Amino acid sequence: MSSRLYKLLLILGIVACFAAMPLFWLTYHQPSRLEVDFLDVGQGDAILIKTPGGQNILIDGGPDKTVIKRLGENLAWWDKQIDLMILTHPHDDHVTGLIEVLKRYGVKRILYTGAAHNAPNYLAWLKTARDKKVPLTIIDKAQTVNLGEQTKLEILYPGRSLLNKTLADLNDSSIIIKLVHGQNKFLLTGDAGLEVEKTLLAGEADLAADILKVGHHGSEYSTSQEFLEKIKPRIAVIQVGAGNDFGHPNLRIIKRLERTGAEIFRTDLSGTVKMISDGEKIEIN
Amino acid sequence: MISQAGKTFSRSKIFLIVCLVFIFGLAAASFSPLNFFQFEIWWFGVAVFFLVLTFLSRAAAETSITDGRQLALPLNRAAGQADNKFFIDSGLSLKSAAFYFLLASILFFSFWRYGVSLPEDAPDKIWHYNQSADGSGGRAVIARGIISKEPDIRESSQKLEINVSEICLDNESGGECRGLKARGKVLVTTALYPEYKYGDELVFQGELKQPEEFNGFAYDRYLARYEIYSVCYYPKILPPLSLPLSKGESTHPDNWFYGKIFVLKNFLTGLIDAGLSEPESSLARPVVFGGQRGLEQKIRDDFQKVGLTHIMAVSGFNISIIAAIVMAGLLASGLNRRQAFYLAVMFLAVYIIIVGAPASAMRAGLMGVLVLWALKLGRLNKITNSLVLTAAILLLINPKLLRDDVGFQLSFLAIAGLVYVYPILEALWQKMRLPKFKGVSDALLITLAAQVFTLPILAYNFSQISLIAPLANLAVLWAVPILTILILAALPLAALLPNLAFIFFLPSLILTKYILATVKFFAAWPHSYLTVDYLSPLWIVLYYFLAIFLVIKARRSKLLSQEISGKM
Repeated sequence: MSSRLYKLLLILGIVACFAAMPLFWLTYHQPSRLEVDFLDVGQGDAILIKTPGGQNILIDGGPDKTVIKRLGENLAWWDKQIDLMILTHPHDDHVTGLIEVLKRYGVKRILYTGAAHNAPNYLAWLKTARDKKVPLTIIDKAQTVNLGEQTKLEILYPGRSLLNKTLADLNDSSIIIKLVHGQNKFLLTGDAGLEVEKTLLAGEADLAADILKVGHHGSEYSTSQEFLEKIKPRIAVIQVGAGNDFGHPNLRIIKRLERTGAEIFRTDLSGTVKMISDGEKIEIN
Repeated sequence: MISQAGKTFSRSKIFLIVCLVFIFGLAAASFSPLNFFQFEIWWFGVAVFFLVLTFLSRAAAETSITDGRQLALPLNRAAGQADNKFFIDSGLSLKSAAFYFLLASILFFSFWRYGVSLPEDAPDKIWHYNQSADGSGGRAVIARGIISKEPDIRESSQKLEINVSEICLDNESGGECRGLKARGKVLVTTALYPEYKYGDELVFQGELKQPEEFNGFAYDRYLARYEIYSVCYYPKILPPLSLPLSKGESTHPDNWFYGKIFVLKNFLTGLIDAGLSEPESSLARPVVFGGQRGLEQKIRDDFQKVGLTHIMAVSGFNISIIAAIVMAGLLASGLNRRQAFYLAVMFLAVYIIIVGAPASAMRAGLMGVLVLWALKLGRLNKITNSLVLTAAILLLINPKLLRDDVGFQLSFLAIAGLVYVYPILEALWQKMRLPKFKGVSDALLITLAAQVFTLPILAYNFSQISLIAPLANLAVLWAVPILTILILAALPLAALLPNLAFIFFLPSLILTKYILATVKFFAAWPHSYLTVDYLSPLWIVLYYFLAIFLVIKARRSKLLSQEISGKM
């Protein structure tokens, strides 16, 4: 092959590659499936939701920068955007990883409670969010965020504004979320304790769900018998670090979950738990 | 010219020997017991004494030889026929005595230099307060200082090097805390957040401690390289004004130049983070900027097993290769050697500034310039003197590097391997008439040559000998300079169009993915590495004697020397 022809082909090839990229973008449609990844970030919570419409939602960020690695593993290489970041409550094992996420990803909006806390990590997170000019929204009532035709995010708790309020137990300020996709329902309870569970039981919200993210890493101060009976989960996910100092998850809670008939997945044993819902059934791998 | 027993040493040879004696002296000093250096000024005195002897005997030699020559003049022939030979001979032996006096002077001087680098215990030094009064543990202090280096940010903590200017002792009997001037560096370990930056002023309250050896790793010596003799774990960090300034003390920001450089570096690493995901960005960052520990332990262990950890450092070896590639590219584009040399040196200077100009990168840069210079001259093996001189100058600046800085040792040994062993291997390859595979054989021989001298140091420090290393290096090394250059090219584009960063970083993404996959693949091989639990220093010395002996022997042997001189 003459070198001129070779050069010509090379240039054409490069042009074709560049032309293919936007075409691929415009024509590529994600199937209408919802993906929920319970990320393995050690002792802490981090949940990534990929909606059928292509939005990325991140609930909490775990205790260190591990979440960045998990996001890299679970998002496409060109996907550097988090459309919604939710901080359930300001404890270190939920907020720390989010600081680095704010720095490396384009975050469009943040939901949080605004409960008063002055630990360095929480303050650093707030400062980074302000530096990056990310709009911050306070949850002041139960509300629903629509994510698509059959997908929505219901915020069940807190029902009132906690802005600048000092709480005896910050865990009880946790945002509680019910994610609905067609027939499939996920209940994500943060670190909420028994008191909050009682409040929810007394309220009108429909708590029934297929999948429960077990509250407070499986601690004995969450997940009461009554609460479980109301939810009737088929699957329970515990986000917990191997060999943690708190003795999470509590053995009694595990027994309780087993009696309810829920299949248990733990991030300390099986790493990131990935669930894909088509609106009717849920695939786990 | 100094003649001695029939041998003649040229000036450059004397110079080389002087540098080598200095390095040898520092080596001996760094393994000598500490009480050798209690009155280091004596060493200096002896060094000066020998220096004076050198000059005296040289002067005497000159007069003696002149006398001898005068006696040999025709007028005096009758008188001094027998004497002139005596005068010239004694002049010559005086000259060689001068040479030995000079070496003795250098030897004592190197001992003095090492002694001066040791910490002096005085109440105005921060390390004076490493122990509580009863000696049971650390001493509680409040200290004020300025962050004098980029924060070293780890997975779940950060390390700050703080240049302390004054302290306040927590009075053990209670009561007022009294302020004292005490200077020196403290390495503070603290939580990830809040974040600090170079030049920030801090006041911290905690226990000062002496760094200690752990798991056979001489952490104390490791920190002493950079004059850190105190550490402090998780102190309480107070607002800067909580310790009142003593009179006349100003809070000067440390160094404007470095402050700006680090801002630029943070901006650039931020671009890499935005353009690549994990773990690719954590590989890309250290390949370009060095010295960072983003990769998770499991992947780092794999790099160790296949002997590729070195690509994640701005080392003399890596900079030399990048410099050589840039130079080759410039030469290929039609510049002459002179122009290519100066442009490549400028490229190196800019690169070193971008990576934050730490001492290690400056050393690496110096070696890169050396290699470029050798390339300008057109021959690699003419740089013995410059290599030894560079080592001597760096050690004159910081004598502790020789024993305690693995990076320093590896860089010089790798380049020494490149300069002295590579031509031998190449000649052997040609002699055996093995095929060249368009440069692949050269790449293999370069990695092998670099390993020859570095192997024992690697085994001693990292307790592992990678058996797969030559193969893994062959598979990966070619990609490293290309990756560096691709990332450097993508950075300005990503800065201009941040939303398209991921496209500009696509080529680097492919290369990083390739490197990570290759490392994982080779690390999974059975017996890819040997574990060395303990390596006696005696074996290391023996190994080097043997290696140097073989290299000299090979270079002198006729079969090879022909091809070597033909090649070079």
